[in-house]
Amino acid sequence: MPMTCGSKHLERYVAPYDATIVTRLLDAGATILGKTNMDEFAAGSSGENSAFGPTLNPVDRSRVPGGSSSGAGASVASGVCDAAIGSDTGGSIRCPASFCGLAALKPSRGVVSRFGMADLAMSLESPAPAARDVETLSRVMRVIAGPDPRDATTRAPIAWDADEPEKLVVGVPVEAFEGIAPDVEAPVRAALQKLEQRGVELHEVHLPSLSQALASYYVLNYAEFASAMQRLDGIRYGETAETIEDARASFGAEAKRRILLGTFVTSREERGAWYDAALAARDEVARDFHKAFDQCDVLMTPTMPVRAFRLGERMTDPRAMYAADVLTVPANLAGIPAGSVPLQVDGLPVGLQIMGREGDDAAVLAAMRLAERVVGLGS
Amino acid sequence: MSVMIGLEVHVYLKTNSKLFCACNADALGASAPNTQICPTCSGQPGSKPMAPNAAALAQTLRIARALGARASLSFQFLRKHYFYPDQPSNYQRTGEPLATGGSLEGARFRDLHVEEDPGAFDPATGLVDYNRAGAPLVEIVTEPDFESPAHARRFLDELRLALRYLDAARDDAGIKADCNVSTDGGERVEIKNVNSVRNVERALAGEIERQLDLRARGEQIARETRGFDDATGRSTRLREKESESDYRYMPDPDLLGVDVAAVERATAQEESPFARRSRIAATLSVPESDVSPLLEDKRLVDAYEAVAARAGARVAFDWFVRDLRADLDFAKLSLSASKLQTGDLAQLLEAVRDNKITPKVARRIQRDAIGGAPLLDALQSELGVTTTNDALGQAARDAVAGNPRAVADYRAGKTTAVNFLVGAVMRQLKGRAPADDVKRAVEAALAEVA
Repeated sequence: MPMTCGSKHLERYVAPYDATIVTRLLDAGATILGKTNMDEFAAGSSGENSAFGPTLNPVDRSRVPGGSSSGAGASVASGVCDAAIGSDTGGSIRCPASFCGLAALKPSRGVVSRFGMADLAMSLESPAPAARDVETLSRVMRVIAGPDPRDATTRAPIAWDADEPEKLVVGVPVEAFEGIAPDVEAPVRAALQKLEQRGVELHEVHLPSLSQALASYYVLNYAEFASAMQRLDGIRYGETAETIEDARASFGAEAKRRILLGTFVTSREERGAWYDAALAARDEVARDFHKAFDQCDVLMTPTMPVRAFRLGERMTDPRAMYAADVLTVPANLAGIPAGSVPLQVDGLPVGLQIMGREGDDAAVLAAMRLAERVVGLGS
Repeated sequence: MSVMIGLEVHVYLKTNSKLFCACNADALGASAPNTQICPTCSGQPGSKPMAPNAAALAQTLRIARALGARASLSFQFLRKHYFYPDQPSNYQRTGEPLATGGSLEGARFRDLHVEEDPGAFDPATGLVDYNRAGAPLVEIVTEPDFESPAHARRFLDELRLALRYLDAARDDAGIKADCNVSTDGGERVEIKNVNSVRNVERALAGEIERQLDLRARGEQIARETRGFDDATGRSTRLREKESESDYRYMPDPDLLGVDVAAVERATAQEESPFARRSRIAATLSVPESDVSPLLEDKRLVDAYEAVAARAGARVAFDWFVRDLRADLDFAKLSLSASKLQTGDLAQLLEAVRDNKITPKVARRIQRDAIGGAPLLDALQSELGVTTTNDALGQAARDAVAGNPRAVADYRAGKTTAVNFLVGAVMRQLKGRAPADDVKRAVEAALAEVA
């Protein structure tokens, strides 16, 4: 089966090996139906950047399913499969989960092996599952997680058998509700209130560096993406090209934009102002999370600042497209686990994001289970 | 004229597997193209490096210690980006310094770091072989402290000696060096990829001459990178400074930092070859260079010191640098590849020291033992055979009686004829009598017939 990464360039590329998580799923008895559509090389937030056409949102076909793992979200939402695996670099599984009404988890850095997952921005991403409910999600996580010598960044096994805490203390970051669409803010606030009535303790916390997270994220994303894309030079993959320029003619606009910007921000003259600054901002985001977790067990925010938008609506304005990632990228910068649970709402789906301490993925899943029961879809 | 030379020496580390995957790193040249590869070292999409090969890190640390360099606390592998067909991912993983400082032959070390080798690209056919891709290298960078090509050569000879002693480098791969040369404070010219110690000396001498010629003609020396041609001994321009690449170094996001302190804890401390050489030379009161041959093989020095402790340093040293090395060279074997046991060798030399057997007999026993014969059995049977003065006297008289021609020569004043007769007696006695005794006996026999 070709591994296209949503790109013309890899249209006929058949991987000569299996990803670690694929082997683990097969060993656990899973049936793999196929590969799903995605934004080209995972560069996108809507599912519209695939060389093979946009993915449609099964909830409303005039709307985007969210990306970049658009096909993963759409396939579960349409009932084709029980679960799907995406890659979450800055929200790529949580965004489709939020837009399509699914449960999803971006694991902590190093919990799930990345061996076999094509690169977007390596320091930020993890394979990440989506499912219709948290129980299925947990089952998938238990199978795919665990150390792997083929990915040097994987960590020692983590405990999965965390009970739902007697008293859950939830931090609500003030900054995360700035600039949120009213039709997202209202149901999220209502859900938090309902959780409080059921005994959850809410704490207002601050993440002052949140304003820098998006810029830091995109600079690092470009830099690492440009590095990863060096290998697609027209000699080894795709149509044989005479020049690198020819080879890259087969890339879509967003991929080209990121390669150019990534090369720019790591160039000798510019790296101080961009790449190094982004690394510093990343440290600050991680510090802010660390401080916040002194006061609470998990953090809750909206997953996406908007509900699923219309196909084509943001394609002409990359900055508007990037802005949709404002609440998901901080968890990738900090390497912490972040899940999304669909809320009981009228109309298009809305996701509640739950973030936890690095390595405390089980606590996030436990909180997701609670939220699912109290405020989740069909609760 | 002032000359400044700096070297960047690349050495293939001796490890079983590659730096970031489990592929075989041994005998890469002997394998059919692209048979020692995997998704990682061929750079397949989605492949990831494994944690850096612990053996490669340990070997580099041992080299650093031997050279007196200080280990860093930790370092990261960086991606060095440039496009070339021999690079599976169009970036090379290269470590920040694992160690810095220290000096050898008056040249200071700037940096020792580990990096992965690219594959091999043949521009003539356009074919690429990734067998070598990912093989571990150490790059040893000096300050521009060399004042002449001969100075650089002395440094490289010493470096090579240390590498042999440590058994840290692949013998078959040799060394490669990038040579930086500037004369009279002018621009620096780099000669890339010079592939042997001899060629480094040639390339440096040629480059100094080239720069002096240019200057004599009133021309400027441009900062540039040149390539060395082994066949002609000349270098040609590869690129000018203006086209120097920006490698966009970036910490490899697929790897964690390397904790060098942990590598240090896992790597046993050992005496540096140079310290060991000084110590042995001081004991014997000989120049260090006399001891160098022993350092080519650590097992040889180990055996020497063990034998010296029992049979005496002087006897053992002379034996090791002369008799033992000669016999091993003749058999084309290293000490460890031969069947010789250190303890046996000590007993043999004790017998020589105590005049129980002659060096000649000892050599014969040693040669047989290198071939696999039991040394102690041979020694035992030799010790059972004592050559009495009667037997020696008889043998000398026989030799004189049996070689009238030599006797006639002797009488004619040709004193070297004695040596011929001594040789005949030695053969007769299978070397069991000391040469001095034989000579005295031959002279006595000659006197008798005079």
